[in-house]
Amino acid sequence: MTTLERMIGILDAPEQVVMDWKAKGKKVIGYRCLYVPEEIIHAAAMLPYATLGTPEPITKADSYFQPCACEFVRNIFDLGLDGKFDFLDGLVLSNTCDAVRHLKNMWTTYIDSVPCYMLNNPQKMYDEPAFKFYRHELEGFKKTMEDLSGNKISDASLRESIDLYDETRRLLKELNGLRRRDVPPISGAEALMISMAAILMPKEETNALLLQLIDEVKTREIKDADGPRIMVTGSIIDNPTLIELVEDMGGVVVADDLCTSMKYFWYQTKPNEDPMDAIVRFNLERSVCACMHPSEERYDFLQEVIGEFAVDGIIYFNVKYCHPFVYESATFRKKLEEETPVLALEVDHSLSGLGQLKTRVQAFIEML
Amino acid sequence: MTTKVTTPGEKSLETTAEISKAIKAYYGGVKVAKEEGKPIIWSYGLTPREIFHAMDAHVIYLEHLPLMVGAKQLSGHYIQVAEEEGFSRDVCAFHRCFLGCAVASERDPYLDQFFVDPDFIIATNLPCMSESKSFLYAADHHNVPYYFIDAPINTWGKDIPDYAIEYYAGQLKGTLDFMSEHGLGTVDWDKLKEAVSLSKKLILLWNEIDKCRQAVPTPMGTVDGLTAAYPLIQLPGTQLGVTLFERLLKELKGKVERGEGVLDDEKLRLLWFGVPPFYNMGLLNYVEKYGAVVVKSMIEYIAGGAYDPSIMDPDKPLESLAYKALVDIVNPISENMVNFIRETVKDFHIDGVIGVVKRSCGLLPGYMRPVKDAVYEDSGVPTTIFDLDGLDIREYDDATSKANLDSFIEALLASKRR
Amino acid sequence: MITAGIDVGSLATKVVLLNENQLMSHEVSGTGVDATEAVKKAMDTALEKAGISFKDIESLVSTGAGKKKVPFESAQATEIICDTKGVSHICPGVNGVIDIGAENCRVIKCDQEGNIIDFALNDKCASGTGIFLDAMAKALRVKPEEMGELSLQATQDIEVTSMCSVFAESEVVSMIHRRVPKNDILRGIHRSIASRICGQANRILLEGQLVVMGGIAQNLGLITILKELMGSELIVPDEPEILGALGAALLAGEGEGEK
Ligand code: SF4
Ligand code: SF4
Ligand code: SF4
Repeated sequence: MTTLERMIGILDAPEQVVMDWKAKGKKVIGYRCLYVPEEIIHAAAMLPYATLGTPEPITKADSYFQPCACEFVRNIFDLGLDGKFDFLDGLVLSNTCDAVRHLKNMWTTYIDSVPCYMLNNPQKMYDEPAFKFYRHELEGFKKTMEDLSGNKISDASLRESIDLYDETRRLLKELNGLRRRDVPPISGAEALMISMAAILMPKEETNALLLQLIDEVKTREIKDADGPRIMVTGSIIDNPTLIELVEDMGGVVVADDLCTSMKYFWYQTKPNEDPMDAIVRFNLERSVCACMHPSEERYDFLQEVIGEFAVDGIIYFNVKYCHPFVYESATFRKKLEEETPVLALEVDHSLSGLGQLKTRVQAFIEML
Repeated sequence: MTTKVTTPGEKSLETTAEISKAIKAYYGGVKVAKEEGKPIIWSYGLTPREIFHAMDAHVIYLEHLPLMVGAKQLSGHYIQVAEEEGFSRDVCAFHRCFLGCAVASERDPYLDQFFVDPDFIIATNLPCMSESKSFLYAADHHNVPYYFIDAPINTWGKDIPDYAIEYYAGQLKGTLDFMSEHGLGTVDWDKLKEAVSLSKKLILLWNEIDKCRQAVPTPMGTVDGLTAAYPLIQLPGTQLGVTLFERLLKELKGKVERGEGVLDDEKLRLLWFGVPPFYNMGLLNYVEKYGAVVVKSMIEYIAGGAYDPSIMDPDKPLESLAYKALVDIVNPISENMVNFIRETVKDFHIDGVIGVVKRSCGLLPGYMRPVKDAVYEDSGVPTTIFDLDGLDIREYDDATSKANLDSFIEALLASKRR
Repeated sequence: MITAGIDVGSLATKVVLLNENQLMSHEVSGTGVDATEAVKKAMDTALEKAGISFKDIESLVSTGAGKKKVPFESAQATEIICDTKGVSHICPGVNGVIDIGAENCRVIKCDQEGNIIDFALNDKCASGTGIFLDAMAKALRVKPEEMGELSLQATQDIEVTSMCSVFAESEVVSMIHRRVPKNDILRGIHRSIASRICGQANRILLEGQLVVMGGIAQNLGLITILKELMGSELIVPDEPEILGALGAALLAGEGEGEK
């Protein structure tokens, strides 16, 4: 089995990752989303586990959330109600969008099996008072993680964790950097699956695998690389189907600005004497999420990626009712379109209605 | 499908008529200020109005303008304009409407009386984060600067830690400085302290008004109440607000003494949760045929109506305002909201809660189920939940809304008979 | 006491006559364009069947979308009340009701004594209801009453994604062109409706033993999928469409609408 196959195989049964970890008698903390510092959880000797959704239709959650809450959040809650996350020793959410805030409410009110914690990150970046506020919040969070795990978090252990995660981010970035080539070594769908697997696994294993993988694909070339080069962006995508759809229609997905991909690994922490401070700065000096202010920076980030990866067209996949990205795409669209065509699509997280999507993606790619 | 059956709500109080006039006068003043070359601010949400009044700033409120447009059944048109600009139907109808007003090439005369382009924008993510996003578009479109007030969400309940107060108060300070830099003169701290003390008075009066409204029969229902809440939401920190509330209190006290109610023979008392249909407030009167009165609505509590102002200290103006904003019932974590509605149901002797879901709202629909369960557990009072967009008249279906109300009230009456 | 219940639906008008809560007669007929006329006719037939005359009726309650068009003096009640009444009369102790009519779908949760705990009406969109099925029947050129049976003979699962009847129709037409077997399309259509209804039931957490009533309850294809999706025990009574009128007549017996 190639390393690529091995990594992608992880996604068939992501719980296995957890079971292996738990078998060592250690705890697992679920989290959503990028603004939860995995390093702090890891430094307390617990496994941070990204709770991803499934494309299943929503059932019980519909009685709790109104159908106008983002489907991703309803899906996670549905799985929670069903006990599918009972293996977690805690769930940590960060303050991003209205939907996640309500997820915190609902979870605390209706799911007893897994305690839920909300990390109150500011939504303002590059702002000293925001750093200060966030530092307070992070100290509280650190304490909670220490209590939950029974392990003290020392500066040294935190520093080690940061280095470990930085290494993951660096390797993922290096791997994905190869997609700048005229003929990328991996397809967009493969790239997404690798990132998702890397995010789910314990980083000690991830890093070793990624090293092998980079070596393995260095000389590889995907088959159909003649089509227009596409960047996908938007809300969370936790399933390669949509990317596959674009590639089936002849697009070459070279960059994926998603929480399960580029947004996760594009930035690394900056050198800092104080590891807690390093985390504060890391989260409040990287512009990856539409929830944060100011947004100009995020626009620049998109431009950077468009340039580096020679992107011909941009597709926004906005999960239905995902307000942050619905706003972002409407606001950025005009500016982006001055140079690069944009297709903004609303998608069902449960991936129904793919037929209609296909037609629109096809028309877009033909136009390019 | 649009129905032509909309009717304005029937108001019954003298003071609310006065308040309506004050609203008109306020926006008329904005227009005049623009003509005089004074800077015009666009703002929204729970940005403390006190700081604007203390700076004598002229502000158009993003959630209020659509209400006025909506009450004239004009919102559909402007919402359409925003949709043509690429804003999907998922985006809050208030913001679609406002953005539509902002970018429309032509505005009808009614709107033109109030509408003025901004010189700068004060944005915030309280209560709903999406809204700070709509500002970006407006700021881009008008090419004006903006200041963003980041509100921590309330994960603490009533005990807000100092560092959170400090963070939010710091941003209010930043807002004041920003306004100074943009042509509003230096900050007059005495005036700000005065504003905070007036604001405190205002809330105390509102609490007393609420006490009156708890009377059976209630002297003021929510059709008047929503207008009456205007000073609470838009005029805290002004003498005008206080004066209006003093008059209102007097009027209500008289009514209570005389035993006059909206209906003399009240059979059912209802609480409205969510955005009522501003283009058809008559729907709230519709339930009167059953002897039912909508006594109160949740949105009358936004902006401080639900909190104990004793903690406000004029000598610490920014901290006081920070506390007021951070404990607001719509600062999204539901604990304060749920507890508050629980109490309201008891205090106001509510028999049933009507929860309406505005699908384009990212905030309020999320409270429905927790509120419904809490109220039922606590007082055995049922809640009905159905779709109704309070602003987008195009989404309104009169027959379905009435069928929902009929069914709910009949079930309530049936259970009362038992 | 002789009582009457009239249920004026958008497609069918139902009249039930009771004597001391025992069924005397019932009549179901098309509402057509003139609801008032339809009610008169249905009433006459029901009276004839029961062998009584109108003045023998002591109390009368009407319900349904067209209840205001009833030409007799009567009390009015919502379908929610009447459905629950009718259902708990013939199936006491059930946990709830699913009423699928021509233009409306209602789900009701009730307690052991037949008190309403919660309910949900469909929104203005008709995709979970009878007229949606009728439109699809037309598109597929099959008789509406045969649809359910045929769908049971499907051999594969097809997804009909459009919820709006206009779009669904064009989706179905394109399937016909692609020569997708009729039965499979029918199953897809039924599945789409069932999942809509299921979603509505989920909103009030409806589960346990449920009665399905209304004109569409006779569609076995739909009931089969609904059972599958909901995992609840669904009971379809013999005359599922008259339960609303029955409930109205029972209400009349409780003193509502006495002449
Ligand atoms: S888009 Fe933002 S809020 Fe959503 S998962 Fe990503 S980082 Fe989190
Ligand atoms: S998809 Fe959008 S609305 Fe949903 S949780 Fe992520 S950022 Fe929030
Ligand atoms: S709270 Fe809801 S209705 Fe109000 S502005 Fe926010 S999204 Fe719109």
